[in-house]
Amino acid sequence: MNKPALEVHNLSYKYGSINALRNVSFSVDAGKIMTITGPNGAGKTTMLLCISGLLNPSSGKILINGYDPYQSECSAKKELAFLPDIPRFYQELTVWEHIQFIAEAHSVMKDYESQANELLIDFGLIDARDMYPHALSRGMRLKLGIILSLIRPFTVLLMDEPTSSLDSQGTEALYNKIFEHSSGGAAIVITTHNLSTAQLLGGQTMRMEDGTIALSK
Amino acid sequence: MLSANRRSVLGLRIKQAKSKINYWLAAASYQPHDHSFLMRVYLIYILAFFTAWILAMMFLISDVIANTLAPELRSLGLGLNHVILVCSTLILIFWFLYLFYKTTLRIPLVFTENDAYILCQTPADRRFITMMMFIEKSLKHLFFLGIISATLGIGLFENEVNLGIKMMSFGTLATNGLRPLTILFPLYLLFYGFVWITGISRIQGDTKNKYAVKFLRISILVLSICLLLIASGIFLFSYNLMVYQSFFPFISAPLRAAFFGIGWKKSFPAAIGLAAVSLSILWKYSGSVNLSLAAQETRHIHARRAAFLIGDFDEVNQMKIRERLGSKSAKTKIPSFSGSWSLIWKNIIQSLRSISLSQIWSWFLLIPLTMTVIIFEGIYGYDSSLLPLVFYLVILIGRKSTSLFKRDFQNWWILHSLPINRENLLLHLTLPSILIVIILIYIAFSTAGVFGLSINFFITLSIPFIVAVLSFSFAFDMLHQADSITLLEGKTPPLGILGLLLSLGIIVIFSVILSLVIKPAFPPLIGVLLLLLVGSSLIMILFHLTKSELKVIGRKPL
Repeated sequence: MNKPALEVHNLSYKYGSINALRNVSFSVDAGKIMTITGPNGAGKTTMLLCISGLLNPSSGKILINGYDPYQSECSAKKELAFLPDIPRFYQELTVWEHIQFIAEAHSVMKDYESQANELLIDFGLIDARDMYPHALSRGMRLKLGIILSLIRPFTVLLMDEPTSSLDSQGTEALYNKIFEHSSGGAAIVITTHNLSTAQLLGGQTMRMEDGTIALSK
Repeated sequence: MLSANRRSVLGLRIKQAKSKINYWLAAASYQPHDHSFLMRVYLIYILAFFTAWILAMMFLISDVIANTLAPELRSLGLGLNHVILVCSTLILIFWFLYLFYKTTLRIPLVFTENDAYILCQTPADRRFITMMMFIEKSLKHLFFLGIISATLGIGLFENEVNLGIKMMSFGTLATNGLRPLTILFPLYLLFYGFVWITGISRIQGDTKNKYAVKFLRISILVLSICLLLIASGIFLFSYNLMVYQSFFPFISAPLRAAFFGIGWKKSFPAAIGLAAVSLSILWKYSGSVNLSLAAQETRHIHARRAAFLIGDFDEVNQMKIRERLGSKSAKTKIPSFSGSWSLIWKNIIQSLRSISLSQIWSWFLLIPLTMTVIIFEGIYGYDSSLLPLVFYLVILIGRKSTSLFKRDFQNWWILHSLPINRENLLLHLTLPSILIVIILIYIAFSTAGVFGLSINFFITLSIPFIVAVLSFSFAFDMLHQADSITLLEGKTPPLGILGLLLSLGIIVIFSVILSLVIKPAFPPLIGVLLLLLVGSSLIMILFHLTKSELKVIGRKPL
C-alpha cells in the first residue's frame, strides 16, 4: 500500500461569516490522481489555496509528504507545486527567463534546459520562448503556468482548473504529463468543471458542495 | 430631433460624463446616490465654495501680476504687457506644436475598453460621435483657458489702473477679464480643429498617409527645435522682446487684440471665421473616422488615466512598462544564479528592462533633496520649516528602499512557491534597494563636503541604520495590510500611515538617544560602539516584526 503524499484532516476555512470549507478530510496516495469537481463557490479553490499555504485554514491539519506547510514551510514547498486558476507573471521576464528563474530557485541543476525545451514543444510554446507574458494569449499564459509547475521537482501537484482555456494540443500534453508524473510517484490533485476530464484522468474523484465533500469515490 | 442611434450615443456619453463629475464630487465627500435634501444643499455649497475659491485665486494671482511682477519687470527695463504677450505667444505656439506632434502618434479621440468593445463596434453615426467628443474636450479646455486668460486680462487691466485709470467697475473688470477669451477660444478651436483633422486623416490607413504623417512628425520636431533656438537666441543676445512680436505676427497680433483690445473689432470676426473654417473641415472629415482603429490606439491611454485617477500608481507603472516592452522578443546574457540568489538575478533583469528616465530621476532625487536638507541645516540650523522636506525625504527613502520588495509581492503566487526561507527572502528583496539608497545619500554627503558643509560623524554613521529602519518599517506596514487573496490578484497595498508613524517614531527615539545620551555622556569610541549596538538592535527588532508579518499573510481575515 502506498503512503499518502497529501493528507488533509478536518480542514475548515471561513471568509468572514461564510464557511467556505467545513471539516474536509481526505488523502491522496503517492502516484495517484484525484479530480475534484463541484459548482462555483463549492470551496475547491479555497481548499487548494489552504493546502498550498496561501490561506491559513481556520482549523484542521495538512501534511504534504509528512510536512505541515505552516510548520515546516520550506520543506513543504520543496514537495509541493501549485498552479492557480489565473497565474500571474513578472512582466519584465520572458517565458524562458521565467522557466530559468523557477528552475534556479529550486536548484534544479540536472539538465533543466532540455526538459524545459521539451515542455515548450509539447505545449506549443516554443516559438514564444523569448516573448514577454503580456504578449501571450490567456491560454498561452496558462500553459506557461503549467510549465512552471512541472519544471521543478515535486511529490504533490495541485492544479486549479488547468484545462479551462487550453487548446487540444495543450490539453493532451497536460494529460500526458499528469500520467507521466503520476506513474513517477507524484500525487496529483486537479479541480475541474469538466466531467470528461475527470473521467479521462481516472483515479479518485471527489465532488464538493457548499464547502463539504458531497461524494468521494 | 435626434435619430435613435444618436440619442443612444448621446445618452451613453452623458452617463460617462456624469460618472466623471461624480468622481470629483465624491472626492469632496458628496454622495451622488444620496438624493436627500441635505445632500442637494451640500452640492450647492460645494459648487459655491469652489467657484468662490477659484475667483479668489484668480484675483490673488492677477494682483500679484499687477503689483509684484510688473514693478519687478519694470526695474529690469521690461514692460508687463510685452512679457505677457511674448510668453503667451510662445506658450501657445509650443502647446499647439506639441498637440500636433501627439496627434501624429495617437488620435485625440480617446475611448475606454468598454467603448472599444461596444460603442466602436456599432454602426453609430461617426460624425456625431466625433463632433460630440470634440465639443466635450473643447468645453473642458475652455474652462482652463477661461481661467488663465481672465486672470491675465484682469492682471493687465489692474496694472493699467495703477498707472492712471481710477475707476474700476465690475462691468469693466468683467469686460477686461472676458475679452481675451473672445479671441483665444476661436484661436484654440482653429488649431485644435486642425489637430483633430490631422489625427483623423492619419488613421485612414493608406501608405501615402503614413509617409505624410511621418514627414509631418519630423517637420514638427525640426520646427520646434528651430523655434526654441531662435526664441532663446533672441532672448540671450538681443534681450529685445519686440523682436518676438515681429517674428510671430500670426499669433502675437490676435493676442494683442485679446489682451489689450488693439484691433479687436477686426481680429474677433477674423478669429471666428477661421475657427468656423477649421470646424467645417473637421465636420467633413469626421464622417469617415474609423472608430475601431481609434479605440485600438487609445483604450490603453484611458485605462492608464483611470488607474492614475484612482491612485493605482503600481498599475500605471506596469502599464507603462508593458507598453515599452511591447511584443518584441528578448534574451538576457546575464548568467543566472542558483537558490535564493536567483532572486537577485531576476531583479537585475527586471530593473534593467523597466528602467526609465523618470525612474532614474526618482532615485537620484534623493541626492538634491538630501543636499537641500544639509544646506538648510548648515545655514539656518534646526528649523521647523525643514520638517515638510524631511517628511517627504522619509517617504521617498521608504518608497525607494521597498520598491523591489513591493514589485515582487505583485507575483505572490510565484514568490510564495519558492523554497526560500523567510529571512533569506526578506534580505534578498530589501537589501539591494537599501544599499542603493545608502550609496545615494553618501554621494549627497560627499558633494556637500566638497562645498565645505560639514556633516556630523555620528549622523554619517547613522545613515545605514536610518535607511534600514525606514525600509523595514514600510515593509512591515505593507505586509501588515496585505492579504493572500489580494496579493494573488497582483495588487500590493500602498505605503500606509502605520509605516510612516513607525519609522518617524523610531527615528525620533534614535535621535534622542544619540543626541542626549550617546554623544554627551560617552567618549567618542564608546559612543560609536553604542550607536552600532542601538542601531543594530532596532534593525533586528523591525526585521523580526516584518518576518512575523510575512508569516501571517494567509491568516488575515478576508
